[in-house]
Amino acid sequence: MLAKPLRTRVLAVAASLAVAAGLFALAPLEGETSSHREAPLVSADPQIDTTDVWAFVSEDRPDTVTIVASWLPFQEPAGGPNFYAWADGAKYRINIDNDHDAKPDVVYEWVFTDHYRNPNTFLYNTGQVTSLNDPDLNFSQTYDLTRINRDTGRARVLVDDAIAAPSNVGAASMPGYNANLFDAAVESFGSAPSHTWAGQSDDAFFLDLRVFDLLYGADLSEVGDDTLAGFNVNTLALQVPKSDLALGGDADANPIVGIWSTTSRRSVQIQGADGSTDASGKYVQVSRLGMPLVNEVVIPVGLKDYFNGSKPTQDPAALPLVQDPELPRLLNAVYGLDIPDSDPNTAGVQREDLISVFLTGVDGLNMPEGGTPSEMLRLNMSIAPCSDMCSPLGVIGGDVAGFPNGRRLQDDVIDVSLRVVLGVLLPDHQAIAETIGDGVDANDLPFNSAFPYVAYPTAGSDADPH
Amino acid sequence: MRTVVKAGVVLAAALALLAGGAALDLRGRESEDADGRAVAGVASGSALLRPAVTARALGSSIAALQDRLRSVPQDWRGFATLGLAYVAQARVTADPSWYPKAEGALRESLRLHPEDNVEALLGLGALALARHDFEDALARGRAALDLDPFDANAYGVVGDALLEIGRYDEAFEAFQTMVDTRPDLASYARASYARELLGDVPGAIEAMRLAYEAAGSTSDAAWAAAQLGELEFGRGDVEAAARWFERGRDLEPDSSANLAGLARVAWADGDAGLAIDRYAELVAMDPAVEHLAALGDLYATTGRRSEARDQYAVVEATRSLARANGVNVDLEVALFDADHGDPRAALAAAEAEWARRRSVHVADAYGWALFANGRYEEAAHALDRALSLGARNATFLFHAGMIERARGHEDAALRLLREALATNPHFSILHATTAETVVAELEAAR
Repeated sequence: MLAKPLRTRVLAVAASLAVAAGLFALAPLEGETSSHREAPLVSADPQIDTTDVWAFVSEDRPDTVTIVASWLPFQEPAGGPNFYAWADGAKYRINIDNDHDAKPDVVYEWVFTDHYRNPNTFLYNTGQVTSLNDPDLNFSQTYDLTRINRDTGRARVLVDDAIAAPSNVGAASMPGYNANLFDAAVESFGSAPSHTWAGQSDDAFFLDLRVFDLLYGADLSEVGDDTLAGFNVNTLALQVPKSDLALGGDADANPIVGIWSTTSRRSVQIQGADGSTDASGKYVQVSRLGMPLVNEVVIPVGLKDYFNGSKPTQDPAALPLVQDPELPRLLNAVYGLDIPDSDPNTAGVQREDLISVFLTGVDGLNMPEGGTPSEMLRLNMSIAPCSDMCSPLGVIGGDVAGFPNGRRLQDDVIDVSLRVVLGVLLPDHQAIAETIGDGVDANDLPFNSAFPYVAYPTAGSDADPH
Repeated sequence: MRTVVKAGVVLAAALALLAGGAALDLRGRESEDADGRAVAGVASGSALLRPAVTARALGSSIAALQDRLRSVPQDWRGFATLGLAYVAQARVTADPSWYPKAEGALRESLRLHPEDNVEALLGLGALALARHDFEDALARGRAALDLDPFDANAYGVVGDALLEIGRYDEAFEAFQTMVDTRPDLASYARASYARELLGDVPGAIEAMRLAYEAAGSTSDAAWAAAQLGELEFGRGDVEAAARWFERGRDLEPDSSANLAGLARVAWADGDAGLAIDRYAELVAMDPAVEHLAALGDLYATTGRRSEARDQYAVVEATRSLARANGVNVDLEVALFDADHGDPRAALAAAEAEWARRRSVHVADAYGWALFANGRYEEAAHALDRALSLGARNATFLFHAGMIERARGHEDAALRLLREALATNPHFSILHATTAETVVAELEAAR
């Protein structure tokens, strides 16, 4: 269907290989001479690479909200468990804006610490590991979870020295992994109670990456395989009462919250003002993520790095990009598709529909009054989990409990995003806006019915993980 | 952000190979052999981290990219990625014939997508750095920054180029911006190098520890371990250096930098035979000039002159190959020839490089080449420049000391040579003994 040859310059919207480009420069660059040092130019840094954020009213505990976020993509199950660790000392955060000024009001912060029982061995485990405290687990990580109230400045440690579920090395090393190590890593706190969990899981995102080759004029008829099948990620999950997130603790009066993740790492000061040095420089935000695919659909490639270091308060400057994103222009150039326009009577392209989805929330659903436009997941906590009209297409599928009202694990955000970009929310939209997709409609593994809901990771002993 | 979405499907394999959390470099496997028996020496049911070969992993990624580009030939990012992969391959294999291929792929990327092509500009910048064309690298890096002022990698290219040109304040500023934009292995490592050049070795080690801990792959971790080993060796702590080199080798058995480090550790420990064996193994795998020269020097200092000459001949051939592939090797030639009996060629190369750039390393090589030609006053001037930044570099100090002695400044010579030996008594296979001898002579003459 979309197989016309490329006719014009391909714009850079999606399918950026920028990160992939870095992969090669990280190979050990030996100095060619001792007089000239060559360091890797770009280093892979998957530990601080956020992949997705999900936020939804918990189906089994509808008085609570669950937030899930993942990092460190493309973990080959048999790929060296030591290295699927969280970045020691980095700040992994979930930010909540409950008064809609684009600033975080409540922050949940996880910070991990490495532990080696025997630092002189290269063994991940020295025998069978059957519990989180098993002495045979040579390398482990603990974390503290802190809740920061940005309005009062008060920080409260919710969980102290909790143990992250280790990477699933395989059945021989970790028999009963799912029950002994994954499920056992759920930490409870507070009276409700609340829960948190950190560890390795299946990558809950599902898509056929080849869908982005449409930007290079590729044939889309072959898509339909979940590229991420059998790959694991590192995941943080949190389940708290709605009132913990809502402005003034009142989820009935203030049910809409904005949610995004940030990851920060310490910089260093090469040379102090007085010539002294101090390795403990300031924390720098290196990753930001709220809505899925915002970098692919909305943000031009030249602003990718800017976006990762930016704050939602800076987003109003990005309004023109959302008004007239490059992706529809590209699809128009390559395939002759119509460029959607929410207001054809005004000069230039207008995309009120995209602005509402990405920056303000959808009117009557998850748009707060008088909010500052900013990119984040917006969840209306007053909308109950779906019971009969459930659709992985969420709102455009008639299911308002799903994306873009928050995001559930099962939501098919690739199909939704492509359709929205092509104008499915506008009247009189082109037919393809109702059908375009990547042919992958569900995750390869079943999600769990209980917190943290994400699927168990594929084991290292799995002979054919993909 | 979700990097995978930006990758492209065939690249999934490459991602898993090289980026996806260090996936294939170090394989954690159930420690059973094919028949299901527990592997000897490892407790049953334990996972062992088993290294793979870096060059092969890179090679298979290149093959995957080439496949992808055959099916999606408009993928300009793919070509930029391939270009960078070729640059990396040139270094991993010490084969500069990959550089023209890299240039071809990067130019194809620019042809397909001439505007806003940060990736290709960075690739060309990395290529220029590898070929030691630092002015070109600087221009490419600046062009990339014009397009994306938040790209930490572009600050890396700009800073690297400025550093090699000798514009240190600007270089350190670029590195500071880089690490404040994105603290990661690449930027921590540059902060470390800046501190080292400023003479702050403990601070350099501290920053390189951060790089080591932030490594996203075993290749990166092994690289950072080698740098830590070099920093320890450079300040004379052979034991600490050995520990880092061993760790780096354990992470990646084919890591040239760590194997070379271990060879030098053997020499520093007084076992020249073992050092020769280790270097001989290394040059068979990675015939980089510095390894060939070190092996030649080991032969020369143990009386095996004809074998030394053989190695030095390979150095010359290797340099020719590098030149043929667009690599400027004047700095390397100046140092090598000054040390190996061709002072005129050394000076010609040094003068050419000095006309291009005035980094402390070029100043040192220029001064040493001038010294070899008996031009001591000019040599002293060049060494002043080399030492002006504050780096505690034993080789610089040795060169300066020998020049001062030739000028008849015996007190200064003694002070500098003692400082060289105090910094690192094993600073040079060729010259460490010389330094000791001259110090003894100067002391006796007092």
